[in-house]
Amino acid sequence: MQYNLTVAILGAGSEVGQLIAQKIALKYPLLLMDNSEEKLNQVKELVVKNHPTAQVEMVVCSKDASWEGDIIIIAADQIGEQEAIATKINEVTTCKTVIQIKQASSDTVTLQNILPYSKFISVDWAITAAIVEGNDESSLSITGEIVQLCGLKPIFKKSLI
Amino acid sequence: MFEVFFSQVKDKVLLSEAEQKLVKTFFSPKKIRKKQYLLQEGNICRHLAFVEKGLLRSYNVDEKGIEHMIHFAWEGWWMADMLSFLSIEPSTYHIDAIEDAELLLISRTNFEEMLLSVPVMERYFRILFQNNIISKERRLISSISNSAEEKFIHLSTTNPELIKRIPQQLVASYLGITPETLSRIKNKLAKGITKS
Repeated sequence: MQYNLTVAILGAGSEVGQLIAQKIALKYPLLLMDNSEEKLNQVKELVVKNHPTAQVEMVVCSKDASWEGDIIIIAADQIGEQEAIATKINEVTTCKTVIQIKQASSDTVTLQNILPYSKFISVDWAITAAIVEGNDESSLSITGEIVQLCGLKPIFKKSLI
Repeated sequence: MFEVFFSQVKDKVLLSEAEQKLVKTFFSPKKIRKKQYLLQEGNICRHLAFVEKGLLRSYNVDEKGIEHMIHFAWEGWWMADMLSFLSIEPSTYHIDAIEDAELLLISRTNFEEMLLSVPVMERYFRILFQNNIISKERRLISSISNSAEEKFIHLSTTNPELIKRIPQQLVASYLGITPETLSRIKNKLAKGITKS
């Protein structure tokens, strides 16, 4: 099957989550999820205001968003929140591209062990560039494109695992 | 998430717990909404889809914009454009959801890997493909030699759920008749008048 790949952004209210939603809204249909309803509404309003033709939906549950999405971006700020999300979505992300956004300056741990059957990609997000690390070629390519759309230079690194 | 799938598989072959666990790792769970496309004409069909919940249809659209139903799939059925999937050529079909659906998708690569890792699944798919060939042959013969009324009677006998669940204009298109003809046949049959 081939259809427009849908991107689920979990933690869409974070700074990076908002940026990604803004930048990729014209390229991919979006499913936005955040624990804060207020932040979620803000992101959606902003995306729709800037890109009236964008397909954007708000989803309350991270599992539902990941079940429906083809590419899942975990963009929550806190590692505790990221781990909680990863645990919830484990069952529905088999064979799907899951991108974990980590702040390059922090020592955030990888979620790969929680999501062993996903095509896991880790992104160390900095100001002008992002280190993109993973094993699956197609997922690396999609992630590189998303990073570029956000105005950063992707630096690819094969996974050490 | 895999309840219907394993129940259907177990009807045909025996799978151990370990094999079930392994099989699960090859499938990607996917939810789609009513009217959402799974495949559009011109794209390559890259997955086989098993329907855990909901209803899908495959169809093509002619030059006049008229839709011709090819196949329907609901709980326990598979859906794909096999020609495109196997030959890696662009599809001539559209596949979309008539109802919100929960699917299990398997890519070509994963399909091959699964058959190698869990050989009993090869037997399952052989049975499935055999049944599919029989069903296609029957449909072809029916479309060549049966009257509209005979086609409808055959369909209601072999697939009563299809008649109940699918909008009548789509059933008519599947049978290759107009909705008006289908309505006339149904009225006639309801009154107990059948061709002798």
